[in-house]
Amino acid sequence: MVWETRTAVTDDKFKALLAEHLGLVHRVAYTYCRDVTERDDVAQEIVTHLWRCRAQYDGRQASTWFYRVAINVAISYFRREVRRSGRTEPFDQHAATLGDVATTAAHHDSMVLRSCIAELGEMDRGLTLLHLDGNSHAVIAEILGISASNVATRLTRIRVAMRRRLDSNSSTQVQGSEQ
Amino acid sequence: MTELDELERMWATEHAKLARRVSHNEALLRSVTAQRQAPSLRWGRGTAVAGVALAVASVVGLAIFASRHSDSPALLASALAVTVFASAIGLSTARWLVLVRQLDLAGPVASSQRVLESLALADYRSLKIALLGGVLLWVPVLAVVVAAAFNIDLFAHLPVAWVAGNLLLGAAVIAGGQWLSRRYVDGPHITVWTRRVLAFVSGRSVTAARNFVAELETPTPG
Repeated sequence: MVWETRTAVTDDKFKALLAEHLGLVHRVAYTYCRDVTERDDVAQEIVTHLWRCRAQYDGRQASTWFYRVAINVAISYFRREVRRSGRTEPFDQHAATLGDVATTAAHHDSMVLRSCIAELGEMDRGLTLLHLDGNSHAVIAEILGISASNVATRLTRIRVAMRRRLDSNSSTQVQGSEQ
Repeated sequence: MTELDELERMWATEHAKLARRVSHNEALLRSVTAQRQAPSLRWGRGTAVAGVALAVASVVGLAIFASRHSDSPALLASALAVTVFASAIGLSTARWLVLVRQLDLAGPVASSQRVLESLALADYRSLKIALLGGVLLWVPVLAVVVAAAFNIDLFAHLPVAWVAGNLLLGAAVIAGGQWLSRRYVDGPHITVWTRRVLAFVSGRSVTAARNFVAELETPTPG
């Protein structure tokens, strides 16, 4: 790993880029963590690593570079936590999503989204996040280091899993309202 | 509406909430960029280099020891066993160093994760060798050290049955430890540290790391 501080962009420019990509950092942390506290820890760890790795940034394709470091750090954190605590279920049903849920419907949507993501493997979570962020298959492939056709295949499989999850969720809701 | 469209709508709602949260994070940014942090891997790398140097020095020292005690089969066998142990530790640590050099968190996620998980596997391997060596080889190590330092052949003073009994006891401790760890690794009332040790001894950590690497090697499962 390269630790030198000589960079393609100045520290001030990098700080500006970092501020610009903080939303991306939080979305990645959101995708891999159970609760708000853990999410903040991961966001901090990602920002720390981005700052440490800034010497490797060549000044091009900022979002690709930021996504790569952020997803790598988040997966490492997630796997380290699984190893440390032995937990396999990353999603805490009782944890509030962002602590500012205003309505029951929004809360429900939030829970569905988080439980859908939590059921995916580490790579598929990253892929789903990149897809939901509006990246093309080619960009996703470049960030993850897999082929574009692989991205398409994985997305199809994720779609099927999501459909199943959403169907089971809506049938539970119907049963609940009938009672 | 397709399932991913539905998720996109939910994602957009969450995204808006996240954006509000980000605005509170200027302090985080300032705190991180203001500090000059010591790289965490640097210390580990220094220790690993020292470990490889120690292993090489041990192997050289053991070769000299073996040439001086070629008339004692027991000491010669002990020196050979300890040489195998030191070589295994040295090679495993050297592999860790090579992997650390390959680590690039700004690289494609699949390849970076492969390197990270291989690093975890190398750690497990080193720990396993150290544990096995500690339990099984403490008598040969002691015999070599005593012979080298004081020129006393410990095997001339120890009954063969005692040495053999120690080896068997070591093997029994390893087998018993594995059985106990498999039985209690999922126990609800154990500490995080204990669970980590049990997961390692039972082989679960290694299996999980191998499975993840295998998943990365074949990116489209099924």
